[in-house]
Amino acid sequence: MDWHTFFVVIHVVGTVLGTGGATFAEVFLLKALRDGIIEPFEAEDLKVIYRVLRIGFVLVVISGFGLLVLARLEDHAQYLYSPRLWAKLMIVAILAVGIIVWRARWLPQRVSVVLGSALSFSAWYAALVLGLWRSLDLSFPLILGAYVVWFFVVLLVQHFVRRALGIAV
Amino acid sequence: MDPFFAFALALHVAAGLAGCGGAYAAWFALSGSTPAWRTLWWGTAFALVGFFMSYASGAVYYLSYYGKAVKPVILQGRFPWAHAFAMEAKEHLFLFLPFVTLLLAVAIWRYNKLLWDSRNIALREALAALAGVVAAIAFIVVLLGVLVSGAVR
Amino acid sequence: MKPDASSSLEQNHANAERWVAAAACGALFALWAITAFTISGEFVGGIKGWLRAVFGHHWVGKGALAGIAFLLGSGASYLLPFQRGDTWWVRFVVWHTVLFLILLLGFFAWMGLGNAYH
Repeated sequence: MDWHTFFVVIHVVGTVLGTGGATFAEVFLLKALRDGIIEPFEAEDLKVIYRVLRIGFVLVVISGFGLLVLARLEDHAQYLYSPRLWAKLMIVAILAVGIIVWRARWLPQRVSVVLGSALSFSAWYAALVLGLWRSLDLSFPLILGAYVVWFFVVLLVQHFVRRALGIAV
Repeated sequence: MDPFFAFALALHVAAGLAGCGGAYAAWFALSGSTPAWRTLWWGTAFALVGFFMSYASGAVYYLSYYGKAVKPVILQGRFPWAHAFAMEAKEHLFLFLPFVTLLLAVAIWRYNKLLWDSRNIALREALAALAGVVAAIAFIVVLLGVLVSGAVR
Repeated sequence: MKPDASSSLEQNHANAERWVAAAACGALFALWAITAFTISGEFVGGIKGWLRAVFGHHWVGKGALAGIAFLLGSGASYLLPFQRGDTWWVRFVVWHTVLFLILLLGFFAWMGLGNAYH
């Protein structure tokens, strides 16, 4: 197995854990909030899912930069200026900032839960699509603009799903 | 590229990422209300060792190879600002990191678990802000590095 | 709690505070050294030349001088303890780091993007 294949495998595993983790975090959060109270065992389940998410994040970042170093060493430096790559890097930064805002309690808890959930879900799926859609030929500002729209779509859908299930955050 | 310099570059990136991740982990541990001593200790250790290793391997690559083989290619290419702005900013901002991380390490070493004492809340918050700033600078340096490497064509 | 244990804890705390304040002072000296030599080096040609002559490369010189500044600053602070507590010092370092980050990014953006570089 060459280094490229190795890093791609790790990258895919990380994306699966991250996207899967974000999906299950959403499902389990909805389940936990149905009765309005997050029980201790529900909080434990969520902690495990967030840990899986963090592992996925670490794997994606390490393998992603491994691929970038390989691109540089194998004279494929043009990939380092790819708008898709930079959009993914910005999404990584947005995810990190989201965690900071939630953890530092700069926003009321209710707002944090709603925004954080939408941010995590939209960011992971955006990164997944950007990674798979190799023929995407848009500029960096356009891709980021599309992500912002996607974020608001996710926020709205989550709001309507919670309302339909009778969940008040 | 000579395998030695390829290894130096790869080590520089890997160690820098480890440092960035370590600082982020330290921030995460310090910003929580429940003690996360192991995360804090390991995060700070990764940050300190990572930044010093990245500094050393980066210095070897920069002093022995970059100036002769890479910088002229960038300056004569389509993106000369990748050296004039990105590389210059990166090499100087990076110098902050070992010293500020050393401060964080000294605080964790001397205070130990007293950091979660009720009278040290303000200090813990200040150290969390410090770790966060270190992680942010490291991430900016990483992005600048991508800009530099991408201009080598 | 026994008086001995309590006073030992207080001593540990006071000792830790002194170390952290010293390290913070050292970090501050290092930040100032890096920023001052970086900016002045671009305008005063002799500085880069001197760093090159003494350390072999201006960037190595800036790192070495920052290290010396760190040792001087932390040593001076440890031996001559200031009135301010360590929390104040750490916050001071945080603000300086952010300020110098913006300053250097802006400076090199102006130098590298605004002017032709040769």
